[in-house]
Amino acid sequence: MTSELTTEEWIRLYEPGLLMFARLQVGYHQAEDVRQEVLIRAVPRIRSITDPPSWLRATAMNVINDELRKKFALKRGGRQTHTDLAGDTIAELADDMAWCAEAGLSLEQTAEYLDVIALLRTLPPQLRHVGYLLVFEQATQAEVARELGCSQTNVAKLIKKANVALTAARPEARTETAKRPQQGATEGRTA
Amino acid sequence: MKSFRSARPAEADAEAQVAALAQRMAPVHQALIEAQARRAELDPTNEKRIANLVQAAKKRQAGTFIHHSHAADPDPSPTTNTTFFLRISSIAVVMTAFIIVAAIHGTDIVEVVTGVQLALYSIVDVTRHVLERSTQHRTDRKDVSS
Repeated sequence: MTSELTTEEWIRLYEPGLLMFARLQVGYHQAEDVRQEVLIRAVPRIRSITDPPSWLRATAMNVINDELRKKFALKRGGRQTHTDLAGDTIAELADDMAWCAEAGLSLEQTAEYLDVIALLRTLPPQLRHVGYLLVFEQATQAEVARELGCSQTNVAKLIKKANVALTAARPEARTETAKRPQQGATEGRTA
Repeated sequence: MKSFRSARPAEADAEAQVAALAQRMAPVHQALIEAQARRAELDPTNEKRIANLVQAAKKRQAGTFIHHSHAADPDPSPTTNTTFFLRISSIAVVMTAFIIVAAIHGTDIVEVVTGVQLALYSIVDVTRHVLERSTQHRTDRKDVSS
């Protein structure tokens, strides 16, 4: 199917999914740059890419990691964390809501989507990637392993980590943690 | 006091919850992607952007390095670009000059070849060292992010 598409059609077909993934990872504004860089890398080899969505996501992660590494180098010894990634501003939220309205989602769906996005954005990039695959792509462990280029055992560990982090970030878990602020905060980080 | 670990739901429950969430998110995901595609179709600058992108990809493939993130600029300044060909040819020129100078001084050809070989080994060694440090850095970074 892919080989029958022209380059422009290929871009139009896979670009929205790539942009959605990039927006989850780095927010709207940087996602535009990531999309551009990934597609520039993709265009010369679109005939040889067997699984375009997966290839595009993996390349997007490489581009994002390169960008983070540059920031890390610029900080001269500062510790790099996933909070360096953008994506939590009011403008981003407004754009996400406008996007949901354009898609014709109900209020409940919009609220749940924004909740999920907010939860996923609390995770480090790799777990965020796993979370995206699990929640939005309904991927199996084997598919996640293939995309991340690691073993299924590692994926199982990552999924467990993601599950724990997502569960810990859920409102009811947060309420429970708030009752025991000091102990919950310490153990939540070590879990 | 009850720990957070013991208070969280069982792992199977968490997986079931994620699976249920994925079921609910599937139509949302599809609708959002379709909305994004529609948004791109309605954008009058989209065609030009894609054309520029394809052109930039061709330039990149031809060996033109573009140093800024908005790489779809169809006419990047020549002062900011260095072709891969130029880099390779400069190395070749230096090597050739080295061989010619050695030949003029009447050095044995075997010694010249050995010298070049040693220089290449040094380059490979330095490259390997840089790559190792890069890999180490990446591993450290992965540790931090995970």
